Amino acid sequence: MDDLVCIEGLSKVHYGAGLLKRRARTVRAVDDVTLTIGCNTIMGLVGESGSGKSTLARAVLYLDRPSAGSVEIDGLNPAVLSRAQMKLFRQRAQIVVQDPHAALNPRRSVAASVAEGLRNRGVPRCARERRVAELLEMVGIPARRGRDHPEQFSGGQRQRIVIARALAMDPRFLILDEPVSSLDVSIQAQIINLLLDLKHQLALTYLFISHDLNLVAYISDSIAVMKQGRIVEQGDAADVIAHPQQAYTQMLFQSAPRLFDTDPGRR
Amino acid sequence: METETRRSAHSVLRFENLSVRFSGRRSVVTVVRGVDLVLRPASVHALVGESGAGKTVSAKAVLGLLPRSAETGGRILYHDADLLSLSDRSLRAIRGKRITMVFQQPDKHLNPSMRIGAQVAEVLRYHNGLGRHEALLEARGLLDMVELNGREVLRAFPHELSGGMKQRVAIASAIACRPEVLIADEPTTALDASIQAQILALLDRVRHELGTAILFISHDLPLVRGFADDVSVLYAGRIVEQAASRELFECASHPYTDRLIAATPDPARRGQRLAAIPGGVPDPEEMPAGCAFAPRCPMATDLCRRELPLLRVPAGTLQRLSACHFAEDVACGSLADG
Repeated sequence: MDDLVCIEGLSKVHYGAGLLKRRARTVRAVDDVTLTIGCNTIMGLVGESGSGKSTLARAVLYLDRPSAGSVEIDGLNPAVLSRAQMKLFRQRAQIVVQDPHAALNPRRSVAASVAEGLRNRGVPRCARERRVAELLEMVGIPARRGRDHPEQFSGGQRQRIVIARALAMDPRFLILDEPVSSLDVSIQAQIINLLLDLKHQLALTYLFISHDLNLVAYISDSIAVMKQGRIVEQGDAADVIAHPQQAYTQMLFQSAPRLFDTDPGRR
Repeated sequence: METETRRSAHSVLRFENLSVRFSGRRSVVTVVRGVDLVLRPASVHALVGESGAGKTVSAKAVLGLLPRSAETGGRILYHDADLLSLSDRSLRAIRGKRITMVFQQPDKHLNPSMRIGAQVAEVLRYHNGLGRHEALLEARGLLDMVELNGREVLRAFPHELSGGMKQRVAIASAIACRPEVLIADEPTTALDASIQAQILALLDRVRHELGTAILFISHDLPLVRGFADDVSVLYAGRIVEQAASRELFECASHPYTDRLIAATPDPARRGQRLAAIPGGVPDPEEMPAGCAFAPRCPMATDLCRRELPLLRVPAGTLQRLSACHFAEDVACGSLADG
């Protein structure tokens, strides 16, 4: 299978002047990360808080410029791209974050939020309206509700709208940073099913970041385990869960309480 | 109900038809609608449900922590005293001493400008009348007991501690007076998985060593399965199912519980679709006439939409309760594959 995303030796260093700290400190938030994600697969990224998961996500998308290393998504390497090509890169790779309340402008209708990227791309008005209706329906929001504002939607619906907005750019790669952490279990399952359907329909590739190990184990094709900025283990999901090579990975997955006793070695 | 009376013979905390309403300027919203629950000594009873189910409001009612706009009905019995009708003064003697609480975000309940030692000691000085020095000495012992380095942590400020450490401090204050009841409201939700396991192990130790009963509020089914003895599942302010944890997870007898289990991602379900529950929780201002879950339930009939099902012992079972007209027809996991 072809790889859609190639990350090589990626680092992000924060040079802290340290306002109150006794000495200035350099923090290697992401340290020499090398990852490849196969086309139309899901890579789960796990690690404890502060391990650098979200910093890695932002560096991969060049939202924060990495300190070293290279990224290539769908053949585009942002380090060497012209401005016009960079626009294409920004379309191809999108991110969906945890909090759908903060992600949408409360003063605009959700249709306007979804349409924003299309307008920037110069899509004419009538085509834009048609596409927005199509996108909303695709994520399970009735198109007529496009006129409504974010506060008129529940958390789960807002997350659907955020996903529709990301899809408006015809991306090939989505980073999902804790996309369901703020949702209730029953709603969470709706969003997860939606993401799996969309992946199938649109041949999308996901980097799925979550602290919920059961969820990551359920959804991922491959898993990468991050600790203190480094990837300590990566591989096929079933392998990583069943035969973790690192004590850290083992500890991480064993600490997650399970709904079923599948492995006789546990509890 | 025989099972019910037998259990109640030894209960430390008992909800009888608890209801909580909030009156706003224009409307009255009922959030908890007649909850009955028995917490047995040294046991863990989990209150499970999604946001808005009434879990936290029920818990806060126990300690009189609800805002003034809340109106309560029914009784909450601590031994023979009804906590809902106690004076503030009598309640203060119980709250923080006999019945205590641990919250989801420990930093919100720690004073950022006070050393940890003084905060833990404060509880002992107030409730047990200890002097400053004795209280600090005892606080140090408590911090050691929750597996912190008492000598160092005593002098620390909250910002110097990690989330897990702060939760341990919160537990240390909560168990300072060896309470009979500890209410833990999502105590591990804000923590990483490995720390979560440690905090649960600590709570388990508290239960065994001090004989403290724990009312455990959570939305996390896998967590509840491993930790609780009894489980009450709340939906839209009512208990829809109540059973021993082992029985409940082996086979649900309410469609909501069954669907909730089916909607939970688990490595064992790789490659299968999650059985999402369609729709959302009903608006408390527009509660359906019959069963509140009926609009989302795959088994619902006209009867469900018309008539509110009462909590009852389903035929063929002894120790469990279900508020479903068709409790006998809920077959384990059958809905999950639909």
